[in-house]
Amino acid sequence: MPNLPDFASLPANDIAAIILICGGVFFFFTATLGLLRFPDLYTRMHATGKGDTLAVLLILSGAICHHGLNLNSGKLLLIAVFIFIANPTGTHALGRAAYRCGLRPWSRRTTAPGQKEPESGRTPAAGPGEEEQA
Amino acid sequence: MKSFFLNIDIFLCLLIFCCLYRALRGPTVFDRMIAVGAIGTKTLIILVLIGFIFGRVDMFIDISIVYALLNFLGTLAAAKYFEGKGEF
Repeated sequence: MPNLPDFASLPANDIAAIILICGGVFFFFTATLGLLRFPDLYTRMHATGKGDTLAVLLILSGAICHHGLNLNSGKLLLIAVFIFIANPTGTHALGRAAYRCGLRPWSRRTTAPGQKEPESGRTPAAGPGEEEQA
Repeated sequence: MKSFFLNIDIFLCLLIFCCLYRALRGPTVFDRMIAVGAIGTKTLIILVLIGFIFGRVDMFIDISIVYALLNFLGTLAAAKYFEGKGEF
């Protein structure tokens, strides 16, 4: 990034915006890492449902710090509040739908990843290997 | 600040391609749905930052609000549909 301005010469609200936006991008990165690497649906949902919400809140707070207070920052606050309510709601709806469809949560001993609920209590150790072995 | 926002946008685009891997390959349909939801959330942030880059924040924030609403409604509708369908 060669053409960034000097960090100390920026005004205070831009420094706060840079710090908040970098924090939000860090949480986006960790949420994407969890989405790629976790072993089954519920753990991936755990990663993205919380990480994305926090990242959106941080980045929009940084945008409000950069922009100052007027009508547009009110709209940004509206987006932040809406995401704070809607993103966990959507994640909860998807998780409930998956659980009612019979997708068992991942466990190291009993359930192979991505397998339907078995007839008896225990399943064979080697399920259909459509997942990478995380 | 514009070049900073541009760098953040490029990094978020790379993260979107990482999420696209899960959306294409996810073993169940719910994996694809949460990947699409994550892509929609990142797109919302990209739209706001593009508004700052172009200096037209008022227009891009309205597009971003509509994108958030459509993303949420799409997730809820797909969850209801696949719950009624009963398979994954």
